Amino acid sequence: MNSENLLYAIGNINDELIENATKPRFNYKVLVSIAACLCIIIALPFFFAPQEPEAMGGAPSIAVNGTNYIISPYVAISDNIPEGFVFGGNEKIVNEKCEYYISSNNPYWVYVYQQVRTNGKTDSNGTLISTEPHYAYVRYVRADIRGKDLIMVNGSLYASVWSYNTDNSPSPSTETLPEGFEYYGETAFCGYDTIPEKELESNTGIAQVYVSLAEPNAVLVSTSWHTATADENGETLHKGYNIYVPFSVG
Amino acid sequence: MTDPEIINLFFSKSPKALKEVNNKYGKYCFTIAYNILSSREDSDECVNDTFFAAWNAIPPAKPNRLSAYLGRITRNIALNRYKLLHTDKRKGMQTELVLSELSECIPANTDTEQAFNEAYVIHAIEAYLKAQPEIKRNIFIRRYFYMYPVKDIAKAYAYSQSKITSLLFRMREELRSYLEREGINI
Repeated sequence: MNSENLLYAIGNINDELIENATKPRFNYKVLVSIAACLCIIIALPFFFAPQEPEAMGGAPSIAVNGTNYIISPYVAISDNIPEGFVFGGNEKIVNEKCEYYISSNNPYWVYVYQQVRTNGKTDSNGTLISTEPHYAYVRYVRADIRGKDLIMVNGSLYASVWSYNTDNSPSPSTETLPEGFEYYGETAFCGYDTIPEKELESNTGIAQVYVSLAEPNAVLVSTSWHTATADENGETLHKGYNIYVPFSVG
Repeated sequence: MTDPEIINLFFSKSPKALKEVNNKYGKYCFTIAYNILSSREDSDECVNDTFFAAWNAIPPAKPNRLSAYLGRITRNIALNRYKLLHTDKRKGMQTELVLSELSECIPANTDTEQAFNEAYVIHAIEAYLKAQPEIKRNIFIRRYFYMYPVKDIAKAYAYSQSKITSLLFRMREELRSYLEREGINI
C-alpha cells in the first residue's frame, strides 16, 4: 500500500461520513469567550451524549451483563491475566469466540483473551511494534468513559470537550486564558482508561489547571503541540488550554 | 430542487436533469476539482465529466446521497487527471501535500509491491473515523477527501491553522497505529 492507494481508499468511505463532513456548524467559540467574561457558562453537559457503541462503527466491542465495552484506544495488552481479574465467560468478538475476564473492583474494564499482532509497545520512533500473531489479554473499556480525558478538580470530575465533542458543542480549546481564570495546580497522572479519584488526578498526563471562582462549570487545562510546516524553520511549540466541563459517571 | 426530484429527472432522461444538477452541485463539484487541480479550466472539465458520468450511470444507479455520489465521481476524475498532468510532482500543490501527509499513515513494514486489498482498508478507515469525535472526523474528511487547504478548514472551524495542522498530525499517527493493529501491514 502507498499513499496514493490510501488517497483513493479514503475516496470510497461511507457516503454519510462524506456528506456530514461539510454540513455547516455553529461557531460556539465566540459564545464561550463572552460567557467566560460574563461569568456564565451554559450547562454544557446537557448537550453531550455519551457515544453509544453503535456509533463507534467497527471498533471491536463486547457486551457483558448488558453493558458495552469497547477496545481501549491505548493498545493496553498483557501477556498475563491482569491482577484482580477473573474468568467471566465467553463472547463473540468480530468473528471469534473469546474468553473475557472481569473484576468486581473495576467495573470499567474487561479483558478479552484474543489474537493480536503486536505487543502493545512502541519503538524509538513511536511506531507500534508488530509481532507474530499470538494470544494476549486486551483491555476493553466501558463505552461511556472510553476515550474520555478526565480530571478531578475541587472534588468534581471534569471531561475535556475534545474527548466527546460533537458538531453541536462548544469549541474544545482556546489559545488564550480568559479573564478570571487563575492557576489552581498541577495534575498527577493516574493511568490511562481510569477515572480520577483524588484531587488533581488526570487520566491523560501532567498538566497545569486553571479555574475561575465565578465559573465552576469550566476548567482549563494547559496543553501544547508542535508544528513543523514547510514555512517554519524547524519545529515550533504552541501553547494553549483545553476546556473541560463537568462530567458524571453513569 | 430536492435530490429525489433531480434523480427522477435522470431516470426519465430529461435534459432538465443536467441543468438542475449543475445548479445545485456545480459549485460543489468545482470546488472539489479545484482543490486537486488548481486550474479553473481543468476543474470545469471535471465538472462536465462528472455530470456526463452521472447521466450515463443513472439509471440503473440510484444514489442515496447525491452530493456524496457526485463528489466521489468528481474527486476520482480530478485525481486521475492530476496524475496525467503532473508526472513531475510539482511541490506545493495541494494534492502533493496531501499525498505527503498520507504517507505518514502507511503502517511500518508495509510491502508496497504486494497486492492492495482496498475493501479491507476502506473498512478499517471507516471504523477508525467512526470512532472519532465528530469534529475531528469531519476535519479529517475535509482534508483528505475534499482536499481543502488547511487554512480553509481553520477558517471554517474558527481555529488557528497550527491547531488544525496539529490535530491532523495526531490523527495520521493514530490512523497508522490503527491500521497496524488491524494487521494492514502485510
